[in-house]
Amino acid sequence: MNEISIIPLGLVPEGKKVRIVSLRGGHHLQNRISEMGLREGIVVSIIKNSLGPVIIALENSRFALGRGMSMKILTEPIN
Amino acid sequence: MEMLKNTSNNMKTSLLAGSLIFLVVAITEVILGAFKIYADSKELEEHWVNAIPFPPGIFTGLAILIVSLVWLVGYFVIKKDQNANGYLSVGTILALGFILLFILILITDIFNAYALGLEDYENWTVLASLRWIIFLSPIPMFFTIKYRDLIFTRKKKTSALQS
Amino acid sequence: MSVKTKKVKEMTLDDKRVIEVALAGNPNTGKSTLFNALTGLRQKIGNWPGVTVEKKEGKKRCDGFNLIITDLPGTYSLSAYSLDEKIARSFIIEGKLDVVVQIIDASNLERNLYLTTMLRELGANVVIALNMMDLLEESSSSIDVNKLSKEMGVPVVPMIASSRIGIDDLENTIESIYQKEQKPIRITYSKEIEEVLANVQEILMSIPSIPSDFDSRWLAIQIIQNDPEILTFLKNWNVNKTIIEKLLSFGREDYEAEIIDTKYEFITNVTSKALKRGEEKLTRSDLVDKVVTHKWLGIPIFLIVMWGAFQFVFAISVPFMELIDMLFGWLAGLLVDNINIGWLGSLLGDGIVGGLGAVLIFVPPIFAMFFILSVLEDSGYLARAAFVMDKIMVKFGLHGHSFIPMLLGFGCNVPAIMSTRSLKNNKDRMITILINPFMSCGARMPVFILFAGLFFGAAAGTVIFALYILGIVVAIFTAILLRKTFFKGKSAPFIMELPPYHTPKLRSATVAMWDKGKMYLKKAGTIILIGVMFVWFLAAMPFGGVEYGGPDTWLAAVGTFFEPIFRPLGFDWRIVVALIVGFVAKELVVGALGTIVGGGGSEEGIKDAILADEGFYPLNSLSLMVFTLLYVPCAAVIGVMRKETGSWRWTIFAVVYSTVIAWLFALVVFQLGSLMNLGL
Ligand SMILES: Nc1nc2c(ncn2[C@@H]2O[C@H](COP(=O)(O)OP(=O)(O)O)[C@@H](O)[C@H]2O)c(=O)[nH]1
Ligand SMILES: [Mg+2]
Repeated sequence: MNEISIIPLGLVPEGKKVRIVSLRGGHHLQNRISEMGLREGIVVSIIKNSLGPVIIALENSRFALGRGMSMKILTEPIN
Repeated sequence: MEMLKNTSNNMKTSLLAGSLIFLVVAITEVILGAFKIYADSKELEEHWVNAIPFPPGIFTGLAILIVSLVWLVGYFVIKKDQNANGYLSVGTILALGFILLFILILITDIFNAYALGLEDYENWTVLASLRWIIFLSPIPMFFTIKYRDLIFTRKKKTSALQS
Repeated sequence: MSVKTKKVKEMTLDDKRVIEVALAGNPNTGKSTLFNALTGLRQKIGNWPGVTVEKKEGKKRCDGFNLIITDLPGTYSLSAYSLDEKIARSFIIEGKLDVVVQIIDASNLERNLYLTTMLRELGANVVIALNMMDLLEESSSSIDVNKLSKEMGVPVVPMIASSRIGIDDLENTIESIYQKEQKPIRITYSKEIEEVLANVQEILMSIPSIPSDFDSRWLAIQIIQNDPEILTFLKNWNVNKTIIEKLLSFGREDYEAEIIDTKYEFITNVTSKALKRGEEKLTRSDLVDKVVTHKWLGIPIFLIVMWGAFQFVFAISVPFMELIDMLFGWLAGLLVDNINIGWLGSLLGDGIVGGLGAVLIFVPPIFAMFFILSVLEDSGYLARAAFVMDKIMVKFGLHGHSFIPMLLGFGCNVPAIMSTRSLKNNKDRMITILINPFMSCGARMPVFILFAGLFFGAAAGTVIFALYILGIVVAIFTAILLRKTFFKGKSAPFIMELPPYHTPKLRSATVAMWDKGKMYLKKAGTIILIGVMFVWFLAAMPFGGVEYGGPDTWLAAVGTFFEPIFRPLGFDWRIVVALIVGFVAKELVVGALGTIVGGGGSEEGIKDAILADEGFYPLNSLSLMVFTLLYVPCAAVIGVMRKETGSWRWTIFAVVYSTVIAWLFALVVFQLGSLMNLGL
């Protein structure tokens, strides 16, 4: 994996699967979303990504993330 | 594969046809509804709009318009070879929801008119409330029967927990 | 170790054993469904001590034992960063529980087990209710229940709560374990953390004032993570200042992240043995989501859903309202005519029956509103509505989360303001609370229906719609204003879970309707009844000879005193009285007007009296509606604002601000209308 392939979640096109490599933002924010299950190393797929919030799938649940939030989550593509 | 192609072609035609029919109904409603509001606001009791045996409604027209647009977008989604089941389902469920609503309104209207004898119902006829149901029903019913498995989750017997 | 002393409790009714159980779990895992399935309607709804968060308790009789069940707020964790988590946590620690049942969504095992690890660390006696087995099967995954149970060290009962499958098993399992000591699972952290923990624990052991409910390892873990509540705990136990400082100095910012990671490592190890994942695919919910959150279709769909919901409310409530109206009109007449003691007949007929009638007539639309909102919530659509509205809310400095409280405000502002708890950021929450009263609640509707119906004929619907819009506009304007002044800063990042769509269940919608509607009935029976009697009293005083509600009464004196302030809005003393009474509850406005103008307790009577009265005409009824829309909804809202904002200053600000805004808008409406000479 080279550096270039790391992109924020908000820029991943619909239908793709990615692995979360790091969370940006304060410690506090990171910990809270980790507790919801969004943490480094897990794989999520992007259900919807056009104007407005992003919808992602994690196991059988779906999360809506605001634009700002989605840019703080860095991911790498998997195939 | 061949069969899949067929189903999707099939659905494409259905979506387009359903959408166009609803579009015509919606536009008629909105135009007539606008006349009706105009006639009411000027208190023109003799206006030709009031001669229509069932009063049109602008909001109902808009609601139907949106169902029609949902199906129309669905049609274009299929054209791009993508899954349009969601569009079919959402449009149909919205329409079915409205039919349920109008059935409820019909029932309460009948009750208000005959059991309570409310003044507002002097010029009311059953047909006035029934008409929406008649207009709205055929296409969603058809979709429901034809695509039942796509629109509704059917209760499968779960083998998971038979104790 | 275990947090509680085991004991067998006696119940007064029969001498079966009582087992106290709490239900914990992530949001949307079926907690309420299970709670209702277990307890039926034998529930008691109150508040958690000191906060307005709803607390549900219920009972269940089983073979040979009784269960007392408490529904804890839905949480992802127990780290005490939100009110819900604090409530759940302290109840588990201090509640003397026998068993904690954690409901887990089987189709989200890994995420849900995180809470389990926290419960186990806390020392609770846990049973896992592995719910939504049907969804698990649908996703073609499978769970080895025995392995899961063994790895987590707790009993696991698979179930489908919505079909009431597995409930009996759960009861039996609770009974079989409640007296057993569970072998604690112990997650081992990194060497560094374990060393620090050992040091902290050693200090803790030397403090005798720590209650035995608290496990020292758990306390130590919280301390090194800078748990925000620990300081309060330590202070309450009168721990010596230097020791507190020493303990807190062990906390480090990055420990928490490490501890979370280690827990997940533990969980991943469990799931790798117990869970077989099916292949992922787009679900039906995803396909629907693409449509209802579509960039062009999303908002129109939302609007027609809302329109349909309002149509439903009106259609279903009109016949009931007519029936109630007839009944109370008849009853009031009967009392006034047949009770010979004049004042008593008047008190019972005009005052109590007439006033209550004016309030109870709005039970049908309010119940219908709660019903339909709960259907929308249950179906999962409401969460999508928040998503759709996020785009718009962001423009006002808020986000999608703030939208649901605003929507609920159309029903009643009290639960709406309470629902702002789901907002994590305090500034966001304050703004959302302060703007909520501008969302026109059901209790204001009567005033609108009465006056718009009387003076605006066919345009009544449009007028009422415009009033709702005005309320929303003022709310938005206020939000922007607050964000620019007192609550500067960015709104918190938006993240919310979208529950999968479900077919709404009639039963649960009915239960929800009853739960929430009951508050309104209770209000009718207390505050409003007292208000009605008070109005009657003022309207009948001074004793002897004055015409009831006439210009020589005390009521008139109060109104006349304030009249000058309201003259520019076109209100005479009678409207002023009604509005003052409306401070207590908007439901009283129509009733008070009824008392003053007369009308014999029925809606129809009030209408005729108002039409015949020269003091009421289209223009001042319009400014009256605007004023009613914008000023403080009711005393209950003031109370709940105080509790939820925790500040009298902001509460008073809201009261004053909204009253001033109401006055200004009504002034503009009346003066502009007079100037333009619209012939109103
Ligand atoms: N398919 C399925 N749905 C369930 C089950 N249990 C509950 N539900 C549904 O899940 C939704 C959320 O349930 P609820 O009890 O409100 O969850 P809570 O947020 O944890 O209180 C509701 O629509 C329930 O009908 C189950 O076992 N299977
Ligand atoms: Mg619940």
